Amino acid sequence: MKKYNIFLLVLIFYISISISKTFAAQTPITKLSATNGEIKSITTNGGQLSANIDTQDGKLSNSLTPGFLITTNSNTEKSLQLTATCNTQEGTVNAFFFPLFSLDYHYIALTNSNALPQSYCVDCVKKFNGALNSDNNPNVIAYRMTNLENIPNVMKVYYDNNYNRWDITLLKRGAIPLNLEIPAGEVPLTNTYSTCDEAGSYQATITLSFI
Amino acid sequence: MINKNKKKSLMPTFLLATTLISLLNINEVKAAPIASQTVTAVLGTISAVESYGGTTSTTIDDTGSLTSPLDPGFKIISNIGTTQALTLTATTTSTSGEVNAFSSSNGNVYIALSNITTPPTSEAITNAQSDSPQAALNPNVICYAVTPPTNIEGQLEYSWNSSGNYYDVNLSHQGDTITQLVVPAASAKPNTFNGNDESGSYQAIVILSYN
Repeated sequence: MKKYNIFLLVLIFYISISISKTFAAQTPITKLSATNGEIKSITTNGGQLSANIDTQDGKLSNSLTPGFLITTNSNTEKSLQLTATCNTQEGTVNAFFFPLFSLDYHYIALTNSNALPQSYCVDCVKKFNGALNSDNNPNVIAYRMTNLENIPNVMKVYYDNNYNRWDITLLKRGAIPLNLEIPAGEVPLTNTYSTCDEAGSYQATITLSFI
Repeated sequence: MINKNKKKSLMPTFLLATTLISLLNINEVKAAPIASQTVTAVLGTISAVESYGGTTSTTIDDTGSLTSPLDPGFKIISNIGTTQALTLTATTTSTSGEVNAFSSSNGNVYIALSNITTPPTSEAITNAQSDSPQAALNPNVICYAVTPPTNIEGQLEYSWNSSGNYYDVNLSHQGDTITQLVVPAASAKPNTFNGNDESGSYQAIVILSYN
């Protein structure tokens, strides 16, 4: 890649000299035009992506904070969506959910990638505001998320209960970081952690995208 | 001559355009309107045993019988889906230290309780554990038959290890499993209780552990 860049610089330098020579000889008018298109870019931006689960109570050893960097060169409002999926035996399902009893908090379900649960186990966690008992959701553990907050003049956020996703409106251009947080030290949602959950890596994938 | 110069002057323009297009293409490759991060929380294995109630104290009447059963309970905790091996052992105190309290003779499994104030010799315990104990040779140790531990279909299976004098336990249940050893309220093994046994507390320690 470096060699390629050096080659381009040399090429541009050569072109500049050639153009100058041409002007000197005949002074033709050459219009150079470059269109800068709209940039809508999202890249991953670090954050803490792994933690351990306390076998006693299911608490996370540290916060999980996947980060993203949103870049746009347009001041017009842009819409984005923050979604999450977790894997089951039947395929991926929505990992975000909003229990009926919860007035304030939203949750994310992590599933055991070493012993995938059936999708109904994730459904049990979502439907019953946690779980009626720990036996009906093996290999699924649900954690509270820190709510995303509006940032004045930068972005507005809204949790869509119908689709269980975050809708984000970007209000300015530039490079804007965004982190989701699953805080450490919080007990999992009621009856979602028990010895029915086998040892392994519990995962969810968070995706941020322009729409 | 003029046409030749015109051709020359077009070349740098063409090269410049090509260069700019290339640079724009590089930006396009880097800028994607979507990004994903996977978060992982690692849950370790849980293999634990806790004491779980039961009666651990009773009295011995004039005939040497226990007035109520002894039935120490255990809770086995596991988040492992495969079969686990455990061992149920028992020790009692002699003047030489701890010795095996379990023994088998004449088709029964016995547990030896020794006087903690005036411990018996290990020879006395061996005599009490034999097929034909002699009352004068086993002071301060009394043996009682134990009820064969109850198997739990599909979860827990006991088998007596006659060479080691302990129970092998196979656990095939994920979650919590409750079990207990029962020493019924019954008379002592013949010739292990008599006037040679001093008053005091007669004890044994029952241990359930993962191999």
